[in-house]
Amino acid sequence: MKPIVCSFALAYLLWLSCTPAPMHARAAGGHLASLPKRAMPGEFGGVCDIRVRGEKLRTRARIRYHEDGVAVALVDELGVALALVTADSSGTEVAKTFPPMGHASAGPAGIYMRALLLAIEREYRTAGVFVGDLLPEHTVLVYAGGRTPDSLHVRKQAGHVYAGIISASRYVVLSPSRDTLMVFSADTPFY
Amino acid sequence: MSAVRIPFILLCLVLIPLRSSAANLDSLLAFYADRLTSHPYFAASFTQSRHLAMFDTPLVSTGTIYFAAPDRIRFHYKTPFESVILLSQGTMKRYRIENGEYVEQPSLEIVAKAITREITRYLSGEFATEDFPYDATIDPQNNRHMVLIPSRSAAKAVFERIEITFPADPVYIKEIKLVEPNGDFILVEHEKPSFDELPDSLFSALP
Repeated sequence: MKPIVCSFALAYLLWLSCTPAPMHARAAGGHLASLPKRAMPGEFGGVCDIRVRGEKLRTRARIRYHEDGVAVALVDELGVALALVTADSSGTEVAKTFPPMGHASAGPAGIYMRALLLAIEREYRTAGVFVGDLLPEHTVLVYAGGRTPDSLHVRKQAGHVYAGIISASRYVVLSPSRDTLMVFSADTPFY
Repeated sequence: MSAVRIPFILLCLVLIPLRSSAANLDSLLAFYADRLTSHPYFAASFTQSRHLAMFDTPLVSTGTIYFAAPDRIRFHYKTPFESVILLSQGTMKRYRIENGEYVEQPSLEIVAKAITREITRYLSGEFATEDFPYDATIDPQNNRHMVLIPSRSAAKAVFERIEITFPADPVYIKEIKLVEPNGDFILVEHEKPSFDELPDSLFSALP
């Protein structure tokens, strides 16, 4: 009986050692984040700090992610919309923006939104590796496969808000000032 | 002669009820303005819901409003994060409160001012004045419900209409609904009103 048990334990250990490690992303700070099988549809959001003309502005963000597309808004406590963006699942079209981003713009924002979403989706589906580097003030830098944010066309764009998914329950928004990416999770207080 | 008289009489028949209705509306507006300004101070807890078509659920803020006629207002928000908005004699200041400290926030003056200015107008009963830039109507079935339609293009660009609901004794406004041209709206509900005198310091700039 004993040799059988030992053999079984040895085989199990061997199997474990040969099995690929669970897919995960390692943040620069050393955090581990489980990768999702697929993103979780729903509404997420919470309080966040963004920078407007170099000054910190506390506001709140809301993201609605569903199969048909994504909607993102920055809305202050008074109810003033700092930015509203919607895009369909292909990333096409963006609704509108408000000050301080300037006038509403459909074309370029839609294209870059699409580029961002496609990039995130592609990496998410294939390599499945996203690195969330959580910085103070809810800032997060997101990049995939060791690439810089620039390669995701995240940091080159001006004047709009973008959204993406970094895990099943974590969503990311790029602020209008382009220097802040905010991350929200399902357990972020929701207002 | 009779050919002239008949249209004149018909015209009078049409105009008299209109005039009477307008006079009735004017007197109702004056009545509401009079009741609202019967208390120079007003404080209440509020719930402010921002409804955007792009989301399933509204964005909700809560806090306390303090108002001193004619134009001083203080919003003290508890959620989504503690903050203060001060509007006094046309100037606006915004602060977030971090660890008990008041930190001034960069402000989107134009839009925020427009909203706070509108709320101030109604609280001080300005809708009864001649230069009020809205056409007011009161629901004949429900005298406590007033609808304001912007009559000037600047206001039209921001609001499609504003709905005001009064309590049984209209000494304060129970609800204000600011509806945008695309159907999105902000609903402000006041509860637990108080009319005690408020200190000036409440409306002055914070350190």
